[in-house]
Amino acid sequence: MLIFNKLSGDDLRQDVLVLQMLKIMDKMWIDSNLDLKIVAYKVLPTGMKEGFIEFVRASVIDKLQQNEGVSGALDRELLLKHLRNMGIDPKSQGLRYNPDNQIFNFVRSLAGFCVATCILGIGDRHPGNVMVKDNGIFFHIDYGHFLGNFKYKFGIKRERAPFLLTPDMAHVYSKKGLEEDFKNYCKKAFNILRKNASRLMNLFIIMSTAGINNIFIN
Amino acid sequence: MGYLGQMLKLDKENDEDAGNYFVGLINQSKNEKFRLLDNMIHNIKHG
Repeated sequence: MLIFNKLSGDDLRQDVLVLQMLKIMDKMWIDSNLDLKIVAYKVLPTGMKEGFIEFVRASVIDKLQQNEGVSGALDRELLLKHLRNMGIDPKSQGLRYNPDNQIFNFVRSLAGFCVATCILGIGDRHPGNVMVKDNGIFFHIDYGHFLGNFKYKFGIKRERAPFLLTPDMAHVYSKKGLEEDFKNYCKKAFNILRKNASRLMNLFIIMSTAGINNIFIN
Repeated sequence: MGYLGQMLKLDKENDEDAGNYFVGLINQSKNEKFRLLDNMIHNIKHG
């Protein structure tokens, strides 16, 4: 299913480039026996600031927080509760997803996106730009700022951390005793990309003449 | 080396050093307090 995007007026070619890089990183990880459940949805630009974006059924994390009121962003149990609720069929009250698989999916995909968004310098990260599927797979959307081109709000740099990892996200793996697993996935994913650094850099060099903002040869 | 080269920490000599560097980034991101305030403002604005 596809939707048409013209509201934001973003240059969707930039999203295409980032999503292609994500797919390439995912392939490097899978080739090294590391499946981080990466979601790289399809984007098709049809003009300078318009195009089609694949619809992915998932919950935006800011909506989950807003449902809890002003303090929703501070609720550490929020994501864990959401995964638990989504894992149960409302009609039969039976399990739709194995809870262990949901957590497994979440921890792996979170690790993958922490590494990928850090390396690609993805900016404008807030809960409205991250989503979670009912089966636990976490992913980022909207790649309008990348390669360290971060946003400023009232003159203050919004991105003060290398990547988005909020306490409610960390609570999912901490509570389940998977902190070391999460760190190991990140370390392994980071080192696989380091080993393939020249391939990644060459792809950006090829794209540097495409006229996409933020890409330059340094 | 460029932006990607800097982010991939190609100057680190081995995988262990690079892995430990990334664990430092995890701790830095997890303990970022400004992000929570920014998220609350975002939720008030868009909620």
